[in-house]
Amino acid sequence: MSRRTLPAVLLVLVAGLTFWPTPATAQRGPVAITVWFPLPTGGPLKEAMDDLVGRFNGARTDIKVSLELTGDYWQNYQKLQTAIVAGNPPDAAMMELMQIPEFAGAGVLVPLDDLARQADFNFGDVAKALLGNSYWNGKLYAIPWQRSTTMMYYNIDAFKQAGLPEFSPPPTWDELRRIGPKLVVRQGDQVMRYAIEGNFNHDWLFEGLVYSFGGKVVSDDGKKALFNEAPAVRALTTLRDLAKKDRILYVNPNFAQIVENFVAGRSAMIVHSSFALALITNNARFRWSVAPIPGGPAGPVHNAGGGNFVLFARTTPERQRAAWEFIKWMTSPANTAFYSMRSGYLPVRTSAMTNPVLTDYFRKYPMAKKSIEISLQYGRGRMVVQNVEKGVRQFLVPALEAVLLGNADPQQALNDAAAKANAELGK
Amino acid sequence: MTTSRRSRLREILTAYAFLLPSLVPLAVFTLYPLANSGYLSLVKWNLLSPTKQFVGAANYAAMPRDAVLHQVSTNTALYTVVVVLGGVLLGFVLALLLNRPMWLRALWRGIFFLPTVVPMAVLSAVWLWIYDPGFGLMNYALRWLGLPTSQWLHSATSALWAIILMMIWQTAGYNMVILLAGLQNVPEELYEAARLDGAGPPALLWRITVPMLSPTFLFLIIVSAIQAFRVFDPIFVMSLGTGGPANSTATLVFYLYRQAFMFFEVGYASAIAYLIVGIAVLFTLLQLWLGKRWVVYD
Repeated sequence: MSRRTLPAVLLVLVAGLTFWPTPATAQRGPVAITVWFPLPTGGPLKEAMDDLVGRFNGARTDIKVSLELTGDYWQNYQKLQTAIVAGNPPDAAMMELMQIPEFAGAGVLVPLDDLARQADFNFGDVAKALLGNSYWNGKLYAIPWQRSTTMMYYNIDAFKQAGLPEFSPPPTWDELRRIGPKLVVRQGDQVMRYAIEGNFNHDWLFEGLVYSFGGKVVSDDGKKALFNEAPAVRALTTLRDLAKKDRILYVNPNFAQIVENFVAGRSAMIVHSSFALALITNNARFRWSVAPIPGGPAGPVHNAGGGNFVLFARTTPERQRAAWEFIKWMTSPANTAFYSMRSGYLPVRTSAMTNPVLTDYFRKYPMAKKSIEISLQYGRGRMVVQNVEKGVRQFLVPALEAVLLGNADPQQALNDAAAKANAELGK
Repeated sequence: MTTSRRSRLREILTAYAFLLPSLVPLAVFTLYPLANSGYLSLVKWNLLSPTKQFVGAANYAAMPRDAVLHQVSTNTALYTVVVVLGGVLLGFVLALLLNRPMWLRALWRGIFFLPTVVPMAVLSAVWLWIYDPGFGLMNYALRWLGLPTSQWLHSATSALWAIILMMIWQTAGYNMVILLAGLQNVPEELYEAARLDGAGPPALLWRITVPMLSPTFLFLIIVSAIQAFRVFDPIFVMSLGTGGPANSTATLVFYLYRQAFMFFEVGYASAIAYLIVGIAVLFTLLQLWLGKRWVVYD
């Protein structure tokens, strides 16, 4: 072998060894599965998840779970997309619930009906609102895990200052219009305190409102926009009037800032996520409570949010079963109670509410109990649309903004947006 | 003859051998993606589907009917023109002021340059508060001066202008430093001679400083126009990832991002990428042509 050919041969050898397929059945250790989870690198949620995964791995000799953190819901979605294209998705992942139909429709997720039937998974113990986004085309694809709903928080001291009964959050939008002006504090032309504030230009809050006015944003099959029908138009007109005519409602597009404004006393009530409870508990220096969001003709509705567990189809049945075992274990009453207590998300099982982990916690934080009860009582599942970003949000959100943060007419703006959405959804 | 040709060939090969370390990354990370997105602009593909459907020029043909594309193009043009001219102009004023001897001159220069080195995430956190309609510094100052306030980022009519204002402030410091260097290269004798001939300060500015700085201006305008044209970060962070209210702050590159990574319309996004490249090339040619006519190289 000459001096020139030797390096070339070595290179080929190294490359060959690197890409040599490792036989899958070589070792008979535990089935190692990977679960992707949308979380940044640190914080209390990661600690809670590490705790649970550690306990699962300690209890099972046949399965070994490793958790990989993927950032926020969007980064998680994009990384999953890339991994699927590369043919290398994880065994399971938690995904934001609105993103799941895109993957289910593309056939990259495992339908869970058979696994759930064999495992005798007790769906009766899962609140109906939480299961609303688990199905696609009649099949089960997702198990609820990190779930929240919209929630209303109100400043009891502000109600007292306004001469209102202390515990009198308005049950309806009409009542809000009546008492709202008393809660508003003005200094010259500047509003120092609004009666109510929220991210109403976003479809999460708006969809809840449309439900409470007796309508829907999109038809159940996800193929037709209904947000230009009477209930949605009435919901948007109500918001517009409260914001622009009565000037008691503040539409804040900055979701994170809404909690800051509430704890700084700049809004007497806010509509936000049930997840904000811990942040408010730690920062508010006044008496406050949670309450149902003001209702329309169909009563209050708290729109669902958060993430569900899904399984990816490219792995072996053995690994799918292992991933399912993990998800089933995670969603047991004791474990979902533990995660709820540590994270502030809803327990996904109704029976978890009487689990000692949560009853002890509720003794210390009664507000957490009240909030969870409101979420489960008034909770409702979201629209199920394949690629909701492209089919609905890209038209609906600018229309809401054109009305609430611009000067557009509700019916006109929603008609235009619905026409475009229907063209896209019908494709 | 043959020996010289052989040695020439050897020279060329040696040159390529030395270039190889940079040619390989260039080919892998620039040329291949460039060619591949050219191909992708001719297909319809959602990233997930195993097959790509060849659609010819359909992605390009869809552009004239896309009302949002028109809106984001207008937004991009407005943003580019105002940020470039405003940033260079403010930078020039700062450079003129800070070119004369004054108390703590180096400190002032440092302060105005600071926004250039602060990460966009930090700037945006501060400016989101400055622009808060209720309790922000901007409206506080306007109220104190007795001027009308604005909804800034919370209104579809003012949001883009709010970002433009912030970016003029952000880019002015860098422009100032480059122009200061240019100012120090203008020979003092020119001013002395002009003063002897009776020229006042305006004449010195327009007849000497501006023409002598024209190559610097051209450089700054080309560089900042390219930067402004492909703006993404400030839009993303100041509109909280939405390009809103009502698409009023969305720009071409932001729209490309949304088509590719939110709607998963890979083909259309690639076509928009080529549209952006086309406009950028035209733009640069125009600037070079203008430069030949207007710029004085001494």
